[in-house]
Amino acid sequence: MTVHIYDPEMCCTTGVCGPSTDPEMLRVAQLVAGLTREGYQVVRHMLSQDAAAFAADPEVYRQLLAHGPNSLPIVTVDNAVCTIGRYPELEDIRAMQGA
Amino acid sequence: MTQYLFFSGKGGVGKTSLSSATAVRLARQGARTLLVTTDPASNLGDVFGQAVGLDARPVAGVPGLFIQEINPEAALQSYKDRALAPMRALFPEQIVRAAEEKMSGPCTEEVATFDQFIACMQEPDYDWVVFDTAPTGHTLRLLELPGSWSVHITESAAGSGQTCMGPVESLTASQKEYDAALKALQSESQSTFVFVTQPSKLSIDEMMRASEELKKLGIHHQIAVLNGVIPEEERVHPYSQRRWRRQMPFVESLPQEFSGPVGMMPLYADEIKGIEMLERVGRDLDDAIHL
Repeated sequence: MTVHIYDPEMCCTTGVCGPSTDPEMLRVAQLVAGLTREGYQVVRHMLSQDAAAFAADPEVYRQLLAHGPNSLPIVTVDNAVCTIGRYPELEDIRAMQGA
Repeated sequence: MTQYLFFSGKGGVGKTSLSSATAVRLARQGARTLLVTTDPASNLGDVFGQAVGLDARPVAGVPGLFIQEINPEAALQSYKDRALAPMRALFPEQIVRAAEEKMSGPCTEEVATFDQFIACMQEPDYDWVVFDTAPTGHTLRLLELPGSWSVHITESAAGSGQTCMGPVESLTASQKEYDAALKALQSESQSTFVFVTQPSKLSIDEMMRASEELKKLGIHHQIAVLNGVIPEEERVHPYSQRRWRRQMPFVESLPQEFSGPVGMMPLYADEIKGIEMLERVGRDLDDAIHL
């Protein structure tokens, strides 16, 4: 299964840096590491580095055009939208798997 | 093979004067020479009496000599333009602007500046590239990056993804270039680091620290120039005699403390600007030490 994370614009694709690390970004980094261990393919995208990816997924593109950068992050599992405006919990991802 | 000279030292010790004089001398000897400043406070333009730009420009009156500046703000702008161009084609201006705002951190500026520094090191058209570098702390950070970047790029590629060096991901294509740059910096036959220092405690302390930092990076080909030494014939006047007495202990001790060769340059009565004066300083420097 493939998880695409469309991040808001950050200093880098993990957001885990600088003197005051956002605990949420730490959690996401751990989530990504956990999913990768379980065999998921996890890909993170950022607008400034990979704009084409945001346009390639029709739903992500539509959200972004309609609601602007505030709709980020958007996370998809096998190209179906999992969360908009927040990062998922592990349970959110698992629920997608069952669907 | 292009040879590199890096001038380093605290602000105001005379890096621009000595690097300019050296560059003029090299060009006069027939070498195609590029003089680059990365110091935002550099007065290279005043020294040569002509405008310095972001591209290499020939110096009037010195065939084979070119000068160029690396401007952090301009470097950041061209980096952003490059990154934003594909976004502009796909998204409305509002979204592009929001992304651009987030890209303006100091870490992006550093990456962009460093990118241009590397580009200058890879100019194949020159026999010599002389860097009139920024003050020491900044210089070291720039030089320290290649090693840690390579490691970071390798780790990221291996999927650890736990460290962050800023927008370095967009530069991974150039890892080969960074490695080549670091190798060139470490090569004794290719690169020389010239520490310019005043004969005073603060200036020398900082130089010794910087020298140690470079050694940790595997950069050992170092030379020191004590700049602004009161000339012997001037030491009889009460004022300059007092100054000389302050300088003397450092003039005597530095050759013992510093691991590389140490040269001494006099305090000039005249301002160091214009080709003629630069040629005179270049001759004195050549007499003082072999670069």
